[in-house]
Amino acid sequence: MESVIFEILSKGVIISTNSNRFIKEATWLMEDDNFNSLNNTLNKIGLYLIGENGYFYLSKDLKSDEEDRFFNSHKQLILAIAQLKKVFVHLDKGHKIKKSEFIKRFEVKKDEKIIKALFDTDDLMEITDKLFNLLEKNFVIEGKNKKDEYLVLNSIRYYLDIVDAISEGEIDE
Amino acid sequence: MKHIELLNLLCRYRKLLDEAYKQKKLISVPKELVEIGLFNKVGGYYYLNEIYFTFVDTLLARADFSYIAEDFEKEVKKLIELKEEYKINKTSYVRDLIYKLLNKIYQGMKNRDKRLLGLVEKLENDEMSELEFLIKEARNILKDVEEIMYKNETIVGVFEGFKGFREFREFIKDIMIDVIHLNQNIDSYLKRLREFITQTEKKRRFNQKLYKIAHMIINEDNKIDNFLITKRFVFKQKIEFVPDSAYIEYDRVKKIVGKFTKLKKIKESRVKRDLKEVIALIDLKGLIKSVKGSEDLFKSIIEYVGKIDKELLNESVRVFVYILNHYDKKLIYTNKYNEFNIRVVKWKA
Repeated sequence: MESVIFEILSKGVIISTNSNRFIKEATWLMEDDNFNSLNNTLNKIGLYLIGENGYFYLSKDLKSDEEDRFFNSHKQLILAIAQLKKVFVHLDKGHKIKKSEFIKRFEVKKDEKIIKALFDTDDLMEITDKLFNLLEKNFVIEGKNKKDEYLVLNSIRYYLDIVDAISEGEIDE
Repeated sequence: MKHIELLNLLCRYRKLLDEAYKQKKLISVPKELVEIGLFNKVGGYYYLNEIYFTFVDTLLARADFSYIAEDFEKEVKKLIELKEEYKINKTSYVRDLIYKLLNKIYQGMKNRDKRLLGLVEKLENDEMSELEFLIKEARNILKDVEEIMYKNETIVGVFEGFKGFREFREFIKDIMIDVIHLNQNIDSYLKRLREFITQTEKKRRFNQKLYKIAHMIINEDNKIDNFLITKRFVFKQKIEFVPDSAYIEYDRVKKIVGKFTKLKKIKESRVKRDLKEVIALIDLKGLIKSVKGSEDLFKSIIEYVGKIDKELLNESVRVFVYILNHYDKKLIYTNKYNEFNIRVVKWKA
């Protein structure tokens, strides 16, 4: 299991404990002994296994040339989550959301600037698909069996916590 | 109409009643339901009588935001008047009226409690309404409940006053246990409402902040970049590190060991393969001999393992870690990373 998890995490996946796709891996990681053993192992090669708020990821100290890539991928997801939260104001981990509901409410809740920054289209269906795909690809949401419904994974807190960590003074100056 | 006949009628039209309860208005309803006053026609639509909603919502502990909690002010006032009258004139008529009012207030408090609980839960479970709307509603309800709390004290006082009469003493004792319990419930609703308002306001502030930051990102405001770069160290293990494939040049590793990792069969065997088995297969003694004095342990391991069995290259990281665990004292951990983006570890000379 260690190598399976290493393989997954090394691709930048955040494993959420409420994910159906990674249920085995999350269960394994939730065992303290397993977590500590893998973390000790990884620490020796300069990697860190992080487990917090119901999700796990692999990390390391950033090299300067990696910073841009890191921030840009995060910025894009923060924008996508911001638009999703405009539509679903209560959105948080564990919530279930529907694409059809998003489509229904989108026109009144649309943030033109965010959409323009993220996608090169005005088509509602295309925007919806691209937004949901972006979030699913980055393991923030997970499609349920019913095609229309998605589960918000615990990993959304990773991005929301970044926003939370920015002090009010920082953005008001 | 007898009570049993009314029940039969309701039962016969249960589906229609259910529809009317959910949809609030209907275009047409059977005449007999209108005749008994269960439906009222307003502006071309038939609406269920409000008493039906009150009845059902109370039993089902439901309430919508239009619910206004009763304070029994008039009943209490009347009760005080009757008490004074009873002191002078102890007629059975006044006594019965007092019993009726005591009961009405007591039952009303119980019903109100159920609906208030429904209202608080409705607020707490609402994941659709706008936050501003919920905060406004919750504040209004809080104000009402605070008044109820205050007025309940008066009610308790008036009830207690009836203990002075032998004929009411047992009845008051009985209901007071419940009334105190209901007051505790009111207190808990106040706490839940205050908590709900605090949390919803927090949620609203957070959303506003998120939208603001999103727009700063779009406008390429360098404050955000500065924050992420300079302040990230404050949030150790959160932003300092990256859950990103950037940490390892995966494609590059694949060029060397990847052709093996791509084969599903090998992937499976790798998963199942026991570490002891791997160590036995690679001949540990030979490996140690080969890596002694190495300037980069990981690279030396890849080189050695590749010679033994290319299929085992997949296990290089685990072998590397095994060596780190078992030969720690013989190793020097540098701050550098090799081309695989793995820390350079030297074998002490």
